[in-house]
Amino acid sequence: MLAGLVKNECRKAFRMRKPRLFMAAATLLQLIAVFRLLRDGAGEMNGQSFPLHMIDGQPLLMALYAAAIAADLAADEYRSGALKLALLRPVGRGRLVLAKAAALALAVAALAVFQVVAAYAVGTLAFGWGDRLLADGVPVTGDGVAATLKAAAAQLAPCMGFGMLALFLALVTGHAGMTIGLSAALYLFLPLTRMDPRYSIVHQMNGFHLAVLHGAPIRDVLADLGVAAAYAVLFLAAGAFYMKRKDVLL
Amino acid sequence: MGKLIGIELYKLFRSRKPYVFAAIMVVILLLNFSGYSPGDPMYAWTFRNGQSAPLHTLDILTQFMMIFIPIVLGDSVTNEHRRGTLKLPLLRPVRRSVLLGAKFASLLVFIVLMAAFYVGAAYAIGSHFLGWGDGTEYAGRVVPASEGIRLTLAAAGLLVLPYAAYGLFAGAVAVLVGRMSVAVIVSLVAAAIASNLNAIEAFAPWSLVDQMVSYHEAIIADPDPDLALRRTGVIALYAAVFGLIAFGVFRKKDILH
Repeated sequence: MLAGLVKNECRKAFRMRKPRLFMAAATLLQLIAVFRLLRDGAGEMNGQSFPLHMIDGQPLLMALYAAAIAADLAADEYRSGALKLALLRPVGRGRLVLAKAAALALAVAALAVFQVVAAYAVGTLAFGWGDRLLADGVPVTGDGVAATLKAAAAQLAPCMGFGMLALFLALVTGHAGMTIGLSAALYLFLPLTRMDPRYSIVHQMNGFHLAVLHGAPIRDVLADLGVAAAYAVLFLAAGAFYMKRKDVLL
Repeated sequence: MGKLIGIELYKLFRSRKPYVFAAIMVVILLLNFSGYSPGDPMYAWTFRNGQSAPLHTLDILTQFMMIFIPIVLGDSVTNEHRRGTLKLPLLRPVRRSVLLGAKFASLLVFIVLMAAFYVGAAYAIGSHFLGWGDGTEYAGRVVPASEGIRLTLAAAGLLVLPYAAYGLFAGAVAVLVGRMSVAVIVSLVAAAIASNLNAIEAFAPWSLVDQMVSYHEAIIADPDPDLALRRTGVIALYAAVFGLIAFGVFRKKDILH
């Protein structure tokens, strides 16, 4: 039953125009980055290092994407009355929220994969493949592609945590605009506060992949993963709890 | 027109949005100023007292506006269209352009009130944590408090112009798309892309986002008439283009569903 629900939510998430819009935006940002690098002197930038450069530069896009998908899957459906349609079948509300969370996670992962593939293509066309992987101009030892994929996968963990926060906001506000606005405000303004970076999901979105890439001690990596997982689990549980009591019969 | 603006304002201020936005502003300012101390390397700011706080943190107001304006217009245009309430005022002898004009006029009132609220909140919260101080710091100088207040109000007032032009852009997007989330996201992603483009010197002077950040700098303190004129022209150009698109599309939009 849950697999069917997830499939249904995924279909909704991927049939919207937003994934395509964000793919176009990600590619445009990559082209701007290429232009800036070529104008400023690309240094040692090469095609195999460009995806890593872009992972550093696109967490805002990931945050907005997670918020947009969460807004559509939860807030917009609530407003349009479509949220109750799934509940006409013998489906628990908690399971429905879980299915929406799974669809959101898959949509975020799909954009991350697209970003890496597009960055390889754009970077290689602009700079050539190159002979080694560089992170901020510093050579990274080992298999370059594997290291890049590891960094991209690492960035997904905090993005999922942020996504669940956005899903919670969508369920609570029931308003697509407020969901996106609050998520964007959190992303932009949380780093300005003096919140301990170890517990800030935005800080993790900006830096966790670098810690993994540069071989941070396993204890630190696990601690960061724990924080991202705590955000995901807490906000998912809070969303499911809130949903159980929400009046969806608009 | 006056009555329509009144209705739009009534709808806007009866919703929870402006109050949520104001609360967010206060919380962000509290979190920022409570930990701020002059000279702290964690902060890009250098001001030392509360009366300098609003002028030095206007970039925060700009970021708020980039988020709030598309939400207000997305609700007022796209959401109303979706719910079918957009056509209701047109049952009276009201032209579509007048209806959209009333929505933009109410947005302008919203922008002015939010900017005024931000300045007031930044003065209050800044003074609470840093003290009022004995002069306003700006552009490497210290000016008397009265002059500082004048500069602050002038800066916030001038920034209303690029915010309004951004509102016309967000309005054009809201008229063109069918879902509120798309309207908000397109405006935010466009602003994020424009912020990236600002790093290219040739583009920055033509960027609306750049005007939203620094338009006032060409006019207050050390006025540069040529720069001010050019920047005003850029804002007017954006306003004209997106205003024409918004009104043109809205005139022919199918709203009878």
